[in-house]
Amino acid sequence: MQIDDKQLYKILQSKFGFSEFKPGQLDIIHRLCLKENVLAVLPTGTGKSLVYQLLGYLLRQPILVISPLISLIDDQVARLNRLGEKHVIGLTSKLDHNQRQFALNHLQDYRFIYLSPEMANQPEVLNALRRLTFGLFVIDEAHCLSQWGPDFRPDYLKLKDLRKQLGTPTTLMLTATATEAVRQDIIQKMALASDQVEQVVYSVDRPNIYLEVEHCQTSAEKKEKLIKLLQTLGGSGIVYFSSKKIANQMTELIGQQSGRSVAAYHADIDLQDRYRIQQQFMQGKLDVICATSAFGMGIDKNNIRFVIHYHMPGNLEDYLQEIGRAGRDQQESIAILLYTAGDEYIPSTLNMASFPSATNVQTFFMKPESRASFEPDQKQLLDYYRNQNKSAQEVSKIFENRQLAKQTNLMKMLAFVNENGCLRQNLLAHFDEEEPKHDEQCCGIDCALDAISTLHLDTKDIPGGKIAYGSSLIPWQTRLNQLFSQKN
Amino acid sequence: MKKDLTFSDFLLQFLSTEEWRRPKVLLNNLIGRRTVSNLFWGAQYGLLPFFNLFSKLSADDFELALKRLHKRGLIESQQDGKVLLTKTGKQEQKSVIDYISQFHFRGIGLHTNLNNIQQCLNLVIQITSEFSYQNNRYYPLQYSGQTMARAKQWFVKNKSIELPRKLHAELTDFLLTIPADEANAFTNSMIGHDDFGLTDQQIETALNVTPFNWKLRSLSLVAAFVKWASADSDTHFLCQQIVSPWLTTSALSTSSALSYQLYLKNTNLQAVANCRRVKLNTIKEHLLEAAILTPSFPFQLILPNKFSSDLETYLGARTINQWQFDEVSKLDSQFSFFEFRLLQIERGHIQYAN
Repeated sequence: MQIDDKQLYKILQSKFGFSEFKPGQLDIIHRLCLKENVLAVLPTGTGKSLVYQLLGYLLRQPILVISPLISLIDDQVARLNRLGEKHVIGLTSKLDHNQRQFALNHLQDYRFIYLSPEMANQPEVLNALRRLTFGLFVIDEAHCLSQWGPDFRPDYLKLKDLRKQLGTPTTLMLTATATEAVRQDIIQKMALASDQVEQVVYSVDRPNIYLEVEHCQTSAEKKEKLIKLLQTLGGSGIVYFSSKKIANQMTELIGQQSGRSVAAYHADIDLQDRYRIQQQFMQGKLDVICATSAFGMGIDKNNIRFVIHYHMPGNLEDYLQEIGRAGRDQQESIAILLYTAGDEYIPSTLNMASFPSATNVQTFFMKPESRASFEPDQKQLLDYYRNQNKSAQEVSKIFENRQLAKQTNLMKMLAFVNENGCLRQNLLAHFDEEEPKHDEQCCGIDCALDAISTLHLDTKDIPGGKIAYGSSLIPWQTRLNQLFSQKN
Repeated sequence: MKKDLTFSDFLLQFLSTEEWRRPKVLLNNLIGRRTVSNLFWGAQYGLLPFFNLFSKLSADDFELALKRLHKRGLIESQQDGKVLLTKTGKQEQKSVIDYISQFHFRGIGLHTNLNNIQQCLNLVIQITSEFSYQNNRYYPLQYSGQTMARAKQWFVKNKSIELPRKLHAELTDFLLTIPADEANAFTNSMIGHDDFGLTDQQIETALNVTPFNWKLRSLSLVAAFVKWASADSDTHFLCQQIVSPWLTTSALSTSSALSYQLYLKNTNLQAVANCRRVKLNTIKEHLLEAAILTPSFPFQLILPNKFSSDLETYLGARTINQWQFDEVSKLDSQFSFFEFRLLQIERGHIQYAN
């Protein structure tokens, strides 16, 4: 397809309100217009979604986007709605029967169709999809295809068949982090040959984020250090925890002791509160979010100045993804990981618990009546392999290998935490990237407060408009007037 | 005012010092599981007013709440899990009941799920607020497809330049019917244009109350809104339209209501079963549900006019919870379990309102 860059810039401005493309976007769009399949590795915050969304306005055919989570789909649909796009549908289990029927009967009217891989496997959905000719087949979070990656999803393995059934449309595979091995695995799992896919790989490095690891002797010291850091740091930031309970407890402590406006954000927070917290944070009414990894979905705040890990993540991919929330405005930012000896046991235990034991696998295969008692996630996984005609022994072996791979990833994370040299070098080596030049803007170990001062990240902003801890309620008459734009 | 009210405290009101009670009945009623056995025992334990108010309550959290009562010495447990209120528990129960008595749920959970109405109201307010600022580029709250569709239908139907002013006026009318502090809490959680309201935790901190205290108050506020909005009135048709699609007029499930109506017409159980093409036992279950949830149920159409004197003596000497069907069938072999349960319902005290 012959395209004119002028036309692309025009759409960029009129639909998205930007005058410039971010690195990588234009290159990928050009390739897709030439009907080349693309595997794009673009770091978090570099506008991956814009690539296919812009094509949606350029091509006169619908764009199909496979996304792994309902929350991600909802978020993308809401974002497009906000941009004024009405022809977008998230085909998820949230639709009731009538809405689903309506959507399937009118699929040709949508410009963007989002769905989970599980949904794509339903015959009724598949039939409706097959009636259309797609301009682009997009696999978001494509690293879920790779068994070498930390987020492997068996249902993603069926996408190669789906693509065939849809007439092999031009395919865009998107991910923020993928090592060379993972990229090869993704291509192979989509039944594509290396020469059928253009790889557009941008460095995962975010030079404007200063990396810092702080070692603490005890958990009490870690707690104190966190409070001290939050008292010193200016701007807004995220603190990551591995447990909801500790995130809640620390939210209270931070609210009382640091003088910062703070909220907890995790899976137990209900939908409307998550929305309120996201929006308050985006508007600068909240300084600090205490999050578990559930956070991140949907947050697109450019001026996050710091990300602190109170607990270490289970792998460097997650670490990179989470620190990538900072400094999207390209301004100086900092990522601080707080570590106490033994912290690695939390992700290690989680890894162990994430797969069914060999005995449970055996029970699942031998006793059909036991299957209903399995956790939904585990049941889905086991059903998948059972349908692939694998034996219980083979499945146990697969899980054993996956567990081993997860432990290896955790060891790499731990090696990063215990690094004596350049942290960035350690991080980038994992992603097969060249050694970066180390300077005083790069990283540091056990010197967070000095780094904050050197980088001028201790500049306090004006406190007005913040939701202070324990602030009182606004009278209802005023609230109603604000809500409905009514004068008193 | 029990600012420190916890979910454990709340459970005390359903327990007794004289009778061992089954925790499962509490959990199943609070999450809205509609089975005859559950409704029957729920009625005996005084749970019906609170039926289905906590549909997302997990079994783990419920267990934890009971453990806390146990730890505080307020209840004791049997091996089969049944629990009994201790003397200390009884004292604590009184203050809980006094406090809870200010909330009037009146079994609204039998007619609706308050959570759905709360979400629909949130969305309708957001849409109208954005509309009042002439903004159509915003992130709408993300709820179930049904909630999104109903809110959209409401907006399409009522969209006019006057809509924000009218909704403002209707909500003002409602808020004037409740104490100002409650009205403040209710409105501070609302989401609108450039204004995202306060989270539950922020409101709890502002009111200096426990999460459960606020949960109960917010449920009670939605219940008050539903009661006000659904009352016959031509002055608040916008709010009426938000609420009415979510409400059933009957407390019965759709299927039970249908069976009950058919029975009232021809008073023949087998004929109803034939007509509905279901088993006779299913119809009996439907009628038992109707007997529990309909104050004017015609027991005399099904139950015998008189019982043998032995049976009458047995029944009269015990509370209905102590009646044993095995014993009753020995005294009158014609007496079915269906009739036995109906008689328990007729002679038992059923509390519909709290």
